[in-house]
Amino acid sequence: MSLLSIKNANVIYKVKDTEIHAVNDVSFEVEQQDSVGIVGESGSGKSTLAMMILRLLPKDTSVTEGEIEFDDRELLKMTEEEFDKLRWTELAAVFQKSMNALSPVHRIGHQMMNIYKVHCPNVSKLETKKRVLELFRMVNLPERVFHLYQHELSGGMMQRVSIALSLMFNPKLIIMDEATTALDVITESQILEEIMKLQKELKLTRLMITHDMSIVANTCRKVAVMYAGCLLEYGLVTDVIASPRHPYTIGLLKSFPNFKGERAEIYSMDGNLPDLSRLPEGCVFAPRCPYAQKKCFTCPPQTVTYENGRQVMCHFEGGNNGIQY
Amino acid sequence: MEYSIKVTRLYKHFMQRGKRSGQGLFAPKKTVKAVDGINLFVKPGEIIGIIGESGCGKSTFGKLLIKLEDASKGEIWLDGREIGEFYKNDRLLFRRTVQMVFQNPFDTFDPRFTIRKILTETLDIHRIGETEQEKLELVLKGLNEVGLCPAEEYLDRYPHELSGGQLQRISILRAMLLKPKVLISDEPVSMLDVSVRADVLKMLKRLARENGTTLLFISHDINTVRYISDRVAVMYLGRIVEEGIADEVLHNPQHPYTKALISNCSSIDVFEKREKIQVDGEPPSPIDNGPGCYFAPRCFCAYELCNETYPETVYINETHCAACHRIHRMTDEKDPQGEIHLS
Repeated sequence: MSLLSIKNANVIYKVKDTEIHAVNDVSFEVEQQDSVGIVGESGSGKSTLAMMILRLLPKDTSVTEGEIEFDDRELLKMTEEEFDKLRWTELAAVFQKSMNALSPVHRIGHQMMNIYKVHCPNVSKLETKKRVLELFRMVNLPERVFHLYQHELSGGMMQRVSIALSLMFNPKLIIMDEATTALDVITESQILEEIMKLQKELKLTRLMITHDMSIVANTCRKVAVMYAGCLLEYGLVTDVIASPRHPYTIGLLKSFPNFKGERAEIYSMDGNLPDLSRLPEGCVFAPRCPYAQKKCFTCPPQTVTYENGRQVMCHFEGGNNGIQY
Repeated sequence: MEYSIKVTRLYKHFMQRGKRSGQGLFAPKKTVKAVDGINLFVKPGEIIGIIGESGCGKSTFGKLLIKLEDASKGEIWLDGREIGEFYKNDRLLFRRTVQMVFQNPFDTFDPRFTIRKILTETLDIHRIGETEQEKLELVLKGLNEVGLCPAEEYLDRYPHELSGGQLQRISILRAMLLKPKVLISDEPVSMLDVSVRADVLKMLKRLARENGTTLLFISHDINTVRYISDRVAVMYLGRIVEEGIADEVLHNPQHPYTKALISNCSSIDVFEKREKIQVDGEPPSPIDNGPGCYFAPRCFCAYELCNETYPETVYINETHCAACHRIHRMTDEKDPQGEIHLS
């Protein structure tokens, strides 16, 4: 059964006279206890999509359309009060800059207890503290962190505090927006291991947003590749990364320098991201696509669904029409 | 043989302000040993990659080479001249010999200058090209070379009108316009998007090869370093712990830190299951490291000696060296305990 299903999601930012189409007709489903990685370059709309799920987009400058069903409830149609009850108890998030997420003038323990009180105002102080310390243990933080300030922690510890915060009410869905991007290689892999362990223990569903394909390859079961607000390819990691079908995914994977084997020349994509205020008539990737045909510039491609729920948005997908990959 | 970069016993210690280590007013101040005795020899035209975690001193090392920081101790020779003297005697020539490309292309340029002004200013300062026309032609040729065509379109734009990838190309071009002997690039692609990154890397490698420039490539990304460099040096807390030919160091690492670093580096190969070496603890600070090996507290194969003295650099073969007590032991056949088996 799917926990989260997104149907035809659209986000348009309105700035002065221009409309920026940040998310364009994105639909996919996330099953219970699944892990989905959303990859894309900056400006591809991946964070906007996450903010849309959490309903954190600025109201006066953005327009959202579509349906987001979470646990059989329609998120976008809820009133603010109803959604507030859901926020953090069932939907939680870990953001990239945990440094900015914590208050610099309160001790870590004090902050966390305050946050706990928002949803459980009647629990005694002692019990709250017990819960916070339990959370610390879960993410391998020493107990002394309770009495420390934000600036006394290292980047890795701060990220752990953020993860502990998000796990506070045993949420069903946890969204990690570039949660490990700013960390060192070794710390990053430590934290990723811990996250995967916690996911199993707490039966979480995880949505990872990142620009690093290798993180997704190692820690997620499914991957969604976004480009210029569109979902170009979606499916199991083992399918998508082993045999990519969309030219963008193919190019993206080829542009990684490999660690083993021959030191081959890396592939580079020409051009830049398209201007999102002027959407092209055809496929968004057509101007940079090495296989683009006339058709690609004139009519937008449809999303085709295959086995294992794999989706590809391309006219000439899968080596049809004599295209060799 | 003449080396392009020759660094001998280079130190850079920063004094910590305010806070004193012990109790009391007259306790000694703490020093941060950012660069702690580096020896490095680079041949002309070679591309050397420096890998390490944040805080290991790799950026400080880059800054020392271009004299943005003054060394506390030790000597740096660039292109056969000691840089202290070199800088004092002929500052322009020094700057023309060594150039730098920084990490963040958005902060590198004056926001009020057009691309034309940014690039011709460099030529003006170094008196390259006699007439305006000649300078402009050089700039246009350069822009085409770094893949910004049509070049005329970019000339009158401001930095904020360009994307990160385009700005980084201009940053590289500005450095390469002077045809420097040595180019230092501090994480030049870490701010760029993946699809643009490959192109910039390719261009940087091509330009360095064409002009015979020695390139010092500082990065934390092992895969990128492997792609671009001939040789690799691994830094940990201000010291080079392992150095050698790129593929040899990365595929046959000798130092436990290099092993841990490589095993923790994620790859995009879904079917490859790499045995991860667990490294405990936080990355330590370069203050009060003690007498032993700096990596010993986190090392998975440390023994008593590791906490007592810092290991000497041992040559595994002519080009590959590492600083670890375990390597001593392995070569010493009398001590069977010293053998370590690592996946």
